[in-house]
Amino acid sequence: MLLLPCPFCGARAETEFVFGGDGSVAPPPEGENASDAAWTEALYFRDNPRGAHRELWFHRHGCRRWIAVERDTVSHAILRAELLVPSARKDGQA
Amino acid sequence: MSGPLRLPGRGLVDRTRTVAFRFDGRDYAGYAGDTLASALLAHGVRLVGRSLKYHRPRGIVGLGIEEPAALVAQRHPDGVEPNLRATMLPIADGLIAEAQNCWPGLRADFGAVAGMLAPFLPAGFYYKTFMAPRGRWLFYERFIRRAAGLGPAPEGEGGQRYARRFAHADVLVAGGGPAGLSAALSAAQAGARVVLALAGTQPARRLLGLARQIEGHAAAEWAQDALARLAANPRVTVLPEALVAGAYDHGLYTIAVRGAAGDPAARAGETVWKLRARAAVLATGATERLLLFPDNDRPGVMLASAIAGYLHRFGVLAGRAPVLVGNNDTIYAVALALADAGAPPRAIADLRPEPGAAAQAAASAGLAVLCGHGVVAVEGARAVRAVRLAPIDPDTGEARGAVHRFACDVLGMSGGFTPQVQLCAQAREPTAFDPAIGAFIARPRGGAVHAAGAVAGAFALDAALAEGHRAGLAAAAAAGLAAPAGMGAPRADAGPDPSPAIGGPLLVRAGRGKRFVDLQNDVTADDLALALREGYRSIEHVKRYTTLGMGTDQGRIGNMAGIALVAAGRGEEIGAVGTPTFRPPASPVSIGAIIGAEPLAAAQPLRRTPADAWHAANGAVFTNAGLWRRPQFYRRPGESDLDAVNREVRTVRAACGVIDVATLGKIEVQGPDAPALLDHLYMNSVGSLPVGRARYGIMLRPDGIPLDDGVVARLSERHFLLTASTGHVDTVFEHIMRAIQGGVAGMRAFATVVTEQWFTAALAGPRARAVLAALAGPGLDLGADALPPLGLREGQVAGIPARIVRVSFSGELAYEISVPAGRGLDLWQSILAAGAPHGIAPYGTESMGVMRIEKGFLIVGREADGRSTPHDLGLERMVARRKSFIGARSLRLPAFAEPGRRQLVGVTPVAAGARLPVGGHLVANPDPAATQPSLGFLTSHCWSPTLDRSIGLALLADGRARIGSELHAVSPTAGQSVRVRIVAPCFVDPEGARANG
Amino acid sequence: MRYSLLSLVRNALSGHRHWRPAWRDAAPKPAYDVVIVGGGGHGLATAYYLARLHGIGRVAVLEKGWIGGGNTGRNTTIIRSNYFLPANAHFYEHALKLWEGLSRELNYNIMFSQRGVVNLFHSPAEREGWTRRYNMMRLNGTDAEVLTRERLAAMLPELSLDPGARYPVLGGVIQPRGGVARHDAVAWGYARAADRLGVDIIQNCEVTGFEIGNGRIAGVETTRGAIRAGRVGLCVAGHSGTLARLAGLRLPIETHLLQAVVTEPVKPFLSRVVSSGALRVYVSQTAKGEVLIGGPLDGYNSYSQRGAWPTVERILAGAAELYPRIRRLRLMRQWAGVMDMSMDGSPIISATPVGGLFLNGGWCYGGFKATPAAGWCMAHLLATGATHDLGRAFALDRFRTGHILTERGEGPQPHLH
Repeated sequence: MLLLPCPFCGARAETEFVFGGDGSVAPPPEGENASDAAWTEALYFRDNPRGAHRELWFHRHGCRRWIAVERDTVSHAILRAELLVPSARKDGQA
Repeated sequence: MSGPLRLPGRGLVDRTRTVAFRFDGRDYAGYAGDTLASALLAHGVRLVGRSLKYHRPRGIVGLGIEEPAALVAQRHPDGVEPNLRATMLPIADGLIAEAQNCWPGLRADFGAVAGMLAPFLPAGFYYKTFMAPRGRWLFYERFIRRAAGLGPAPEGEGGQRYARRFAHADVLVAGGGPAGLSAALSAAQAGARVVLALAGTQPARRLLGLARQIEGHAAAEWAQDALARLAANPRVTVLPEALVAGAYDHGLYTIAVRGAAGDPAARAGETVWKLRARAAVLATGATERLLLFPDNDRPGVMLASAIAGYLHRFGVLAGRAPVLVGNNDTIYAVALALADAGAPPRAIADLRPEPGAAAQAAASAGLAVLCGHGVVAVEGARAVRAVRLAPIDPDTGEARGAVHRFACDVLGMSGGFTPQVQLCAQAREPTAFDPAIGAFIARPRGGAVHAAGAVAGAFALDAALAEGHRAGLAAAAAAGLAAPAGMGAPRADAGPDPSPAIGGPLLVRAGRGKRFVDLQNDVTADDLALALREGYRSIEHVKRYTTLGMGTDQGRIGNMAGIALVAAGRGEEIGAVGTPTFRPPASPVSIGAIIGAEPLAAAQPLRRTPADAWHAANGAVFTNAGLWRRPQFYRRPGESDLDAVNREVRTVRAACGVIDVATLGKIEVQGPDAPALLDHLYMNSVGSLPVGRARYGIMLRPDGIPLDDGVVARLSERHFLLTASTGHVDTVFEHIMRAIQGGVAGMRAFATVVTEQWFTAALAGPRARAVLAALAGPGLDLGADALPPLGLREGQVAGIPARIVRVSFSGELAYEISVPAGRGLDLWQSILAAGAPHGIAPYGTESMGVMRIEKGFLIVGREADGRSTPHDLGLERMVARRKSFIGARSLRLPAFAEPGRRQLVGVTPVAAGARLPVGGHLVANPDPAATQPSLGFLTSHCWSPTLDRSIGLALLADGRARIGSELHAVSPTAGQSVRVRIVAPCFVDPEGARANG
Repeated sequence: MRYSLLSLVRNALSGHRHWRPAWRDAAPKPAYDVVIVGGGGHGLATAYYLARLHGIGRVAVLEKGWIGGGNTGRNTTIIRSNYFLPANAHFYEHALKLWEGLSRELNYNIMFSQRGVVNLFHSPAEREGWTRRYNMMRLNGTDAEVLTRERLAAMLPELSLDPGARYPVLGGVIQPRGGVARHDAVAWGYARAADRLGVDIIQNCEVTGFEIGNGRIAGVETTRGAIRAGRVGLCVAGHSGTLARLAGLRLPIETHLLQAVVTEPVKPFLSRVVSSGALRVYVSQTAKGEVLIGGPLDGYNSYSQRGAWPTVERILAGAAELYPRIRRLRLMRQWAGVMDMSMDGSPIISATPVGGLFLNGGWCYGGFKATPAAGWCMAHLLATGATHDLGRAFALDRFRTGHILTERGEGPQPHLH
């Protein structure tokens, strides 16, 4: 059972969180003008690394914030965890 | 009375307390502190069970967790609990234990016929037969299944005998031997919060009866004192009779502890601790292995260390006439202990050809030592009567000299010691093969996991103490605690340490009879050879093909011997063969204790609305909605379910009704950029909403499919209130937060869930305005101009500050009235009181569902089924064209514009009285038994009391083009077929005159 | 040597000393017509059908460890074809038909026990959904029945139908032809049958790279040397992404953990396979007597093969709701498989952007039950270069056009499938 270091609440068990999937997913730079290929690449295709994985967790039973976590998908070691903050890019959703 | 083999003055049992118990239909007595095994051995009981496959007679082999054979079922007042190890089961007054896997009885077991068929039942025989005729396996399987399985199926639930605990520690120490105690002491001295898990109630078995001194005291006394000091330390928790069962991510350990929480003294039941430890010391020791000789499974053939253990712990002689056989020096310590207890071994067979110092010492003490000898035959089927020993060629395993027969009543064997590396492997720490002891030892990397003592290959007492001390400090350091200066490890005297180093042949080939590698699953050395011969060469293939080590004992006493056989058969090093994967738990753990006393109710507590008690007292029939319970309808005396729903719907449509919608998700969004955020979130335009107005809105997922729908209300320039479906509010909130936190930098907007802060009642029906007017405070104008459809007002209702939104999910004039949750029941009762003169009735979700189907309103999760696009659902006109929003781009993917997509339509039977079938599909051929394509399916349907006919909503291929045509709604599983007309998805008041009036 | 009762008796009389290896321990040759990466059930079945149905015998199956050591040996062995979407339904029904004759076809008893697979429903909405799905199966010509609470009680007397339960059971559905099989035997049986047709099964041979020229595959690099082949099939579900990356491909797949547990063995008391969506658990009893319990994904990307404890607590709690007396049983083993979770929950059997390189993956929970049909379709694809009708919907490019195949409709979030 993972212990996720929430920047607000401290180390908490994974059962308090909701997994939000790959956090490195970004919409294509063309935004809504992207081609079908570019758009679906962001929507459906994943790096799925064996090793460091950038992912999102929501602290549903805690501070109710999204946490950006870097976790090793083999050892499950937490390499980094910080509050998800907006990037400079426009339109943060795929 | 406690048995003829009980010796005076020995052991740790409480001789002042006699305990009466029953085994296999006979009454016995033992002492408090006895296990079933020790108590039975004291009475000379040999036969305690039958084996899994061949139904061979089996006795007690081990002393504790390693026991493969002596499994019994315990009768409880409320049922039966199978597969308990007699070696772990404490006796208590009234204990009733039964032998397993035998019929009609233990002594005369019909299943033993399988033993006679054994030549035809080699490993994997079932893969080679029972194939004909096609499809008959189920028939054969019935017999095979009945023969399989160890104990009886369980009965009863165990109730409060099970519990769960949660704890945190700096250092977990697994094991109470010299290394574990030393580790716990040093970690505690370093200031660590320590949890020490002991396998028994006492320090580990190897400290008992050990004629050694630690720190100037007898070893056992030192250990007792160490335990007492640890127990007195408030930072230390000593868990007796505790098995560390599993090691999981980030320092989580599961520990199975005997005794239900709150009643540890009773020693009944089991508690599972979930312990989060910053670091751990594994001091799990080593378990003795069996030896491979013919009929090595006969009752009375035991582990030599177990014989010593019964003597030291329980004062029980396993037999008066023992013979010992071994491949290492530890058997001589057992021999001396037996001699001291007045039962010197009749013979000691040492498989190693050359007599070592220990052998010579034993011989000079007058014991009969036969070096280079092994067992070639065991006499006696239900109890050992004699053994035959012969010189064994160390290379071939064949006999090469005269056979000597020794009458005996117990045969102790020692095939060496296997470090218990399960937890080390579970923790993903390395192990390494140690050829001297013929087994793998723990070699953790030394971060958060450390190992000490026999598990790490340190068998000598002084080394175990020193390593334990060091490991305790290292673990404390890993937990961030520095050791005080000047701490030294406990020191042992310079006494002898019998070496666990092994020698001699692995397998005695001489003689007839099965050589069991796994007593529980009846796997023999021949089975392993067969597996290799047939190409199952990987240790995992061997395991799976023969079932080696897959029993409840996890092959503790036999696996290493099996691995050695496989290595020999493959002509490879044991280290190259490796071990099968160790899978948690290290030993079986009660499911009752894993899940706790009331699992589901605790994990998923029922949520109740503020008016719940009123509903319960007024005939509500409840239904689950997520974690909530909601009234489905309110039944009046004499009404059927449908009667009640029909009455409620008619009341709403004719007069008025009120429904508790407190479960509806409510989310506030505030901030100067809230309009922009909402326009990004909703597919329709909502940012331009005027203050004091509300609008129906739909959010899409990134893939263009509706995520949820709800009403967006603008409370002020910068303040919005959104509703979300009861079951989706968490997801919706998280979706919003993701858009905020992962969106555009500098967006000034934020969201908060306020579902629990508000109680909401929906008041609907032509008399709704009149009822609300009776409750409205001064200045609250309910006129159509002041509060038009989708208008919003704040004011007093029944003297309670309230927010009113004129929104309808029933198609009637309707208001959703929200008040602080604490006033919810007040509001509910006030509305009912005020509505009484107007004929008001409370209504439930079922009636709400009927009315929304009549209106053709969709539900996300039903009509919006995760596949349908806004266009499919007839909502294309809502999709904003001139703004960007989540999911917009996906709507332009080619698949979404193709013909043949399923579209939302209405369906009603052509014949007025006919009913739409549950789970019905729309098809061309009316025959419900026909194989044919489904053109579409019903998503929701009901009996409409308004139209007095059955109606439904459906997703139908090219549905809109089919409106006006006829098809058939079929339910092949129910054999139903109904001719239906496809209509527009709105059955009542399509112009909306009633709601807008 | 054919397996039969007669051969068993004959060998018993000679002390079982004359049994032959079930498959040769082949060494890699420099070149093959087809190389299959992955010696699980899917890879071995692909090789078997290539040799058996398409006459292609120069086939190698490369396995990095031991055959059947991945998800073939780690699943809950349930076989069913109760799917809603026609593409899935027809494919899995084809698999089920192959399963029914498989022991005889392979001359290896894979112990397909058609004891029936039951799904329970706990609410009227679930009743509607399950009935709709089972009606769809009947329209597709598959066996399917809906059970009232009373019939359920008669059929499964061991099941708790306590009306006061947190989620009371309202009824269920059954696919009578569904059941369980002996998972290891599936790999071994296909291996033995393929071996007899000349297929080389090469264990301890890990693929470390692909030889690609002008957009076409030319061979693979392995820990045991380079092997040339013009057609290569990836059958490595759980590791599809890792292997595909070696060929420069990104896939619509994430890797997740799925756990299962068994209790200690007891005499038979559970007759059928029973699952509950609301309780998120499925339960059966093995021929050996263990109660086998599976549940949902752990819920986050992982290659660790080590499951989390909360999942075990959840699935055991669910199983105890169905069978309260299993509290008196003990958990004996817990394990996890790494799953290829595709982005829509349906599999991929497809050509790839690299010519001659074909992918069989993305199986989510469905891999074991699909084994014969997946091998069958993959063999057709490798032999002909064209997709068989049965697998047409499983093409990779569906993720480019939006023709996604989602049974449950959760959207592109594999951890929710």
